[in-house]
Amino acid sequence: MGIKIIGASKHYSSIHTPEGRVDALTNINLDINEGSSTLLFGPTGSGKTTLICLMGGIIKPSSGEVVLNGIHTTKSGDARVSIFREQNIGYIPQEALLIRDLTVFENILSPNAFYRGSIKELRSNAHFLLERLRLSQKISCMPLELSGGEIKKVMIARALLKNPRYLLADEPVSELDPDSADEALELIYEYHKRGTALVIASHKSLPMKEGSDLYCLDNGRISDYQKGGEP
Amino acid sequence: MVEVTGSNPVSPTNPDRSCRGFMLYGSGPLSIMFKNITWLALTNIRRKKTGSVLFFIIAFFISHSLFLIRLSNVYLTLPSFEDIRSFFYAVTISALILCILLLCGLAFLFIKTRSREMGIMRMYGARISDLLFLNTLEVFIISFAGGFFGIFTIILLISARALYIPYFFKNMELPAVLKLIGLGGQTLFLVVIVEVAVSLVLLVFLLLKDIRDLARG
Repeated sequence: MGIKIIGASKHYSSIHTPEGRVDALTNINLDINEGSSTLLFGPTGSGKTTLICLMGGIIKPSSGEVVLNGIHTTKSGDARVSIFREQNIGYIPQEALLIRDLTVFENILSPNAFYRGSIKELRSNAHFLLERLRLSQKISCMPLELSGGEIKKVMIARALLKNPRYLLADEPVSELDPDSADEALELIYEYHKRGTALVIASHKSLPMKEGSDLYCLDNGRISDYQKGGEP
Repeated sequence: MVEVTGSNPVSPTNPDRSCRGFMLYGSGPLSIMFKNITWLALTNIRRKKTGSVLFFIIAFFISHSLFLIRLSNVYLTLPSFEDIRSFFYAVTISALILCILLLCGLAFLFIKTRSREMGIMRMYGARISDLLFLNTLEVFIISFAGGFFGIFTIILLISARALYIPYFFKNMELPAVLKLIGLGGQTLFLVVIVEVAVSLVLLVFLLLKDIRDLARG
């Protein structure tokens, strides 16, 4: 079980290159086990976001395999992958992806509404997370009234709302001030302690937990790999 | 650090992951999911005022046109009403076509501007069928309200004799009133079907493209 990426490549078609395509990822092999902690490190444009999207089944690889708890994303239907994502994945995108017509509270709840659990429970979770991230005062604000850092915090709360089995965080603290970044990471690590597997993509070094796997990406390839616990 | 406490089975404060029975998609009752999606649909209607009001107005006018066509079919059948009926048809059918064209344009814009939002929902596990259901529910609620209001105003106008239908008032009995209400119900059904069908076709067209990539900006 876990997330396995086996020889996966991803390219996008492009009219601006002589080859007619851009290779975002080339021959990636990677394992994410339940409860593990992984840092994807690399400069801008190295393929971190694409890799995170592959891990969540948000996009499919051009070649190779992505296996999510035994579900092959290339062979399985969309519904099956979506259900896996709904049940297991929390995703913090790099861009400010909030629904502009909804309040902070509704933004946290709304994408999580497609499941068969009580919305009351989600509400209490949302209140807890907003309090932890010191956003309780902004609960009724619209996204346009928030700063970049606050938007990031809302996306962190949204991703953690259902206590996900895997948290895929794409530059989770890039727009936060040092204190807020520490608070957000502390909250994320609390979830990790309780069993959530972490995958954090970052272009700068982050204070990761001991035993974290480190993958260095460069130009769409894994240039270096350091297993957790090794010096 | 806030102390971790609580007994809520889905609470982030509960460290026992085995309690997440609700997470098994399909394990909980369907009614709960329906309730959640209804909450989301009503929230969207409330927050996206411009789109909701425009859909409402179009449903209002479509119901007017359709109801008047049906009324003239039933109550203006005598040969002496031939000219009036032809004029009536020309006006109402033109209005109906205009309304449906407006509806297509509005539904396309409405759905197109929501592609990012749908992408976000897809990231969090919404299936295409979930999005179709959510959209259908929203359009159903708005068009039902608009259509109902439209038909209600026509019936009000007829009752106040501002809209004079000779045959109807000569036979102002309970069956006639019931017939009017029945016609109203049929028209309402048609209005809802038209609005839902147009928005569904456009949404399916949009979903055929990869919304997941749209979500990435």
